[in-house]
Amino acid sequence: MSDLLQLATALRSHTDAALLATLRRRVGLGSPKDFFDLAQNLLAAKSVQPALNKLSGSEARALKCLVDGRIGDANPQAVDSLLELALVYLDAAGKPQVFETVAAMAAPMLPRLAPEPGLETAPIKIGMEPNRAELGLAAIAAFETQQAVYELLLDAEQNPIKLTGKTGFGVSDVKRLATHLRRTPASVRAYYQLSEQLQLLQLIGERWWLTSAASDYLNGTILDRWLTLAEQWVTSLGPVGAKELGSVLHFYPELDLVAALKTVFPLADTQLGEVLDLLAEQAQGIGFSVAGRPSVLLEYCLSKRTELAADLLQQHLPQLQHSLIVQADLSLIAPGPLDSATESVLRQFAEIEQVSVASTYRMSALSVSHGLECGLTIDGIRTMLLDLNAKPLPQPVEYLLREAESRFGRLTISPGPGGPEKAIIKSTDAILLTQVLNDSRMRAFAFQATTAASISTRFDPEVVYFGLRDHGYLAVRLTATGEVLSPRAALSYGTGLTSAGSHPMDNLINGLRAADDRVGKQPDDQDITRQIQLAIKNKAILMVVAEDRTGAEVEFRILPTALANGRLRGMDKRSDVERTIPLERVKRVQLG
Amino acid sequence: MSLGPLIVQSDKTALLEVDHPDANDARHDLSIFAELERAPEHIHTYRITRLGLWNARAAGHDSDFVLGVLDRYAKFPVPAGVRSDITDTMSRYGRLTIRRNDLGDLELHSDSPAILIEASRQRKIAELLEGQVSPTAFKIQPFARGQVKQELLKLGWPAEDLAGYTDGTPHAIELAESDIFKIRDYQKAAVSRFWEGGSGVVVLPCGAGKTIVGAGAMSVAKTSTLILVTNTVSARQWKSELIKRTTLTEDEIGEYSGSAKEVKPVTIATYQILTTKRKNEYAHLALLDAKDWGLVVYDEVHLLPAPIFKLTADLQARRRLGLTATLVREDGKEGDVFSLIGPKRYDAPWKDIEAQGYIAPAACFEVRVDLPEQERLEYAIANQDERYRLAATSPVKVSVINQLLAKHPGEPTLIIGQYLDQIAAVSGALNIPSITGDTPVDERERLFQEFREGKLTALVVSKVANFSVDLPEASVAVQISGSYGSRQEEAQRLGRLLRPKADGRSASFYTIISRDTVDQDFAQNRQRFLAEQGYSYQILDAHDL
Repeated sequence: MSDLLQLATALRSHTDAALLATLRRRVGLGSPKDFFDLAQNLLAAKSVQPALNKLSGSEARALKCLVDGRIGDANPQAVDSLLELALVYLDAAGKPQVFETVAAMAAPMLPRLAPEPGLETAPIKIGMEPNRAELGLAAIAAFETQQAVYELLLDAEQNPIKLTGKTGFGVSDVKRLATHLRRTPASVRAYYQLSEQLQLLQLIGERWWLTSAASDYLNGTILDRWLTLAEQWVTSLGPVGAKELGSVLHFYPELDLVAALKTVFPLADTQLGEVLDLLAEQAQGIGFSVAGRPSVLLEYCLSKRTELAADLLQQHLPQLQHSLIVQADLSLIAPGPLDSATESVLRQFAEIEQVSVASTYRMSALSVSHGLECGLTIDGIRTMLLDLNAKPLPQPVEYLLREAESRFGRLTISPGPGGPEKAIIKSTDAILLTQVLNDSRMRAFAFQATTAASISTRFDPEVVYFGLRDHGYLAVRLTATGEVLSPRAALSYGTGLTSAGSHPMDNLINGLRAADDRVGKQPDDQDITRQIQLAIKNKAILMVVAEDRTGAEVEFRILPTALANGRLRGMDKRSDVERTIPLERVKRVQLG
Repeated sequence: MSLGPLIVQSDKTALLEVDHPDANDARHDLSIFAELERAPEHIHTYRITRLGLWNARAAGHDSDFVLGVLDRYAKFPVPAGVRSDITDTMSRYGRLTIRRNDLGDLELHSDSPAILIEASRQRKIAELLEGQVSPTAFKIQPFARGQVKQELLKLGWPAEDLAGYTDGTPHAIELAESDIFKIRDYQKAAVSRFWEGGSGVVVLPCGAGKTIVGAGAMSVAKTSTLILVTNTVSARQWKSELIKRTTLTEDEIGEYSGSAKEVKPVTIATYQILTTKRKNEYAHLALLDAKDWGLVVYDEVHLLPAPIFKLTADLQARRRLGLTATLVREDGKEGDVFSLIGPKRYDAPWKDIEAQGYIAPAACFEVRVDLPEQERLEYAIANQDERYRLAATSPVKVSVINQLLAKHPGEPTLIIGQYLDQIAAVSGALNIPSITGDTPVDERERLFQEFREGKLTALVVSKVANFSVDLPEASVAVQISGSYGSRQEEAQRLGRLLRPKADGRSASFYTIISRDTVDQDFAQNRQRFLAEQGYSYQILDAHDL
């Protein structure tokens, strides 16, 4: 049987969990419509090569044993990993075999391997005692990374991020976040990649959306978020790779993390080398290394003692503060991290200016209006600020709150009947409307006066809302029934993605199963044609069920050779004759 | 890890909690290598810059010292990236030096040929060099000393300048300290920092005595000095102050301006006269070579006109002192000042100087006035570029000025505006004399003198009074319009009020703005610098006055 059929069959027979494990470890999945497509993509060089490059030493040695026919010498755990990677399969006798395509690609690489007995079986010990200075540095790095990803998700929530360029994230989005975080664009790209790895962002169409995992991340504690980062980092090494890294660190304590990773992945090429560098950088950000040296947190996590690592980290994370310094220039400074709930409310009525261990926020008429739109009250805001500030509020802050309250809702946007009146802007202040109407910066909206108290535009209310706010107008969106529409409600984690099981990989698997079901029960003509084409391409035998003249179903075992003019031509392998079957008579086919 | 007053962030800013018991000690140590960026009431922001670290290195401090200070006061661990950055940055100092060879030519030296090659291959630096003289040295073009240093700074390889300065023609100058006059500690510190650095900028609040810093620098340099100022009135104020505070006599100080052309051991010239052209040539450029100047002082250096940059490039071998209260420019060209004059050598928060009693305490108010309906409508239909003027010059502000004058009866008050027609209208409506650029210098001086003497209690002035005008007893300013969002102008205008008053009273600075207009938007920007200095604005409604 061809590699393609072999793999497609194997994938089809996996449980969802096993399939998920495979999909997570491979790249180049593409957008497969069925298992054949998936198999085809997984056997393509652009998917196999990275998988080979990323093999750990023991996986690579196991692969070499299988290629050399020395099945008995291959480490069983490594073989299981190779099976999970879909680089090998189990034959009819249950023995692991290497796909021909994979063997051909691996052939030039495997001779580079040197034997390193003993590493795979070395137990992972926890090394030196936790070093306080190191843990402090690790904790700060971990705090900042989880915070950066948090900010990235909030930014993605509020700013549509389009798929752009090779990396998927455009320069303007990167720059905006880099400015916000006061980091370099290169660091920000790394955060985007990390968020994608963590499956907090997914691509739908041409836009990046938050996933339901992002919601969990945003609502979690600092430690929860760190655990997400830490677990993903370890998972990305693969089960064998993670164990090997622990062994390498044990046997070669003098190695820095980059060198250790390169030891674990001996087949790494230049591209993977970049990936390993990225992994090392991420490790630094998570607190798994300090100044390039592996930290005790990494040792704990590699040996599956993640809870211990979390406990240790917790002791050194910047302690949560319940205070805010409110200044007369409307700036608010938190002299340390705030708890998530407080931060979440604060973000509704103040804009964050600087994200850090001690973040800075700023209030303005626009930000307070935003808070009121989200359902806060001025008294609530004032009470919160007084509680956190522990002293009377500066006069300009009090003034701002009073004024924001008195002006709230002065300018509203409602959905209109449609067409040239898609959005209706209303105000009891006719001169304010005149100002909007005549504002040259808003010319693109082509506002039209409809009544003395309203103007309209053909643009969506949401677009108008952000446009007005960008130019300093305190606009408030209303629903069709006149209720204030919270800007938060308008944001969504992708259309139809808020239900359980909406993980992007789950969607893929469900789609594959559905396609399979369709083919199995009611194959449509497109599927039949496609399968025949695949069989021709791979010189695979087809089981063809066709109707004879009487309408009865007859089964043939055909090696198809051509498909043209609505007819299937091929060699009947049972009767050894050439057959030609009209496609319209074919009820279903199955690759044999 | 201590619960110290400092929070060091990954972007190399450090937030200092001013109310913490250790804040003062921290501030003292931080000032050695970090630059104070903002100083509102509770949290001061410092920035650890490469330049600051190199200055510290030049003063003999190493990275262990800097990290030690940060660790001592930090509330949370200093991020690893910051630590490594500090170590790396400071290790780069001194790898390149500027020296003079036996013939007096300038040369760029390095102990590392690789670093030298790297530097010399940068296009902007290559243009300033004259050829390699040895594996470890390049010749520098005579005019390019300052520019080479600046480009090397940008490249990340600061050059230690060992070439020295031209002493200039010696001239005896001493401060005339007495029971009435003593140089203050912060002024001494400013002079000392400037002198150690060779050249640079001193930033002190208005009224804090920058002229004395200039005089102090002259008394240390003891050399022929050229002082560049913004206008003739300012030139005469400088002259008067130097005669009062130093051993210089009238005969030793010359004025070089539109009305006088005296070149003396200490010469005070206006920027304007230097940039005057006749037949497309700078007519007074010869002043720069008229004497062997050992010190050049640039008053209000933030206003340095672009031509002056080029004109005074030849003065790189001479010590240069820039003085200002506000080193902010809306065009962001502060870097140009550093390039020509030198880096900031001393900076003191305004509120610190106020706390020491050397400048008057001041309260700032933003008075919001509603435009009448008709004016609102005119504003609403006006073009974008007409809106500020409409809002800023609304006649409704006149009644507010009246109310404020009534609130401060008899207090010397300046009413400051941007637009001449507005100034004329206010002057006419309130029967108060006005001073604008059109007012002859002698008339200006007469009115200012009457104001000083108390014969006049109010003046309506244009931006000619923004700076360099000494009106010690002015204690109320009412700003009615300005140069859009200029932070520097706002600060300079407040500065007119900051001389300590004889009776110790506080100053009041009012800015009248038209609500819900661009006047209000610009006001927000204008106030930023002062807010960062700790001056918060109380917001009042005009109808509540």
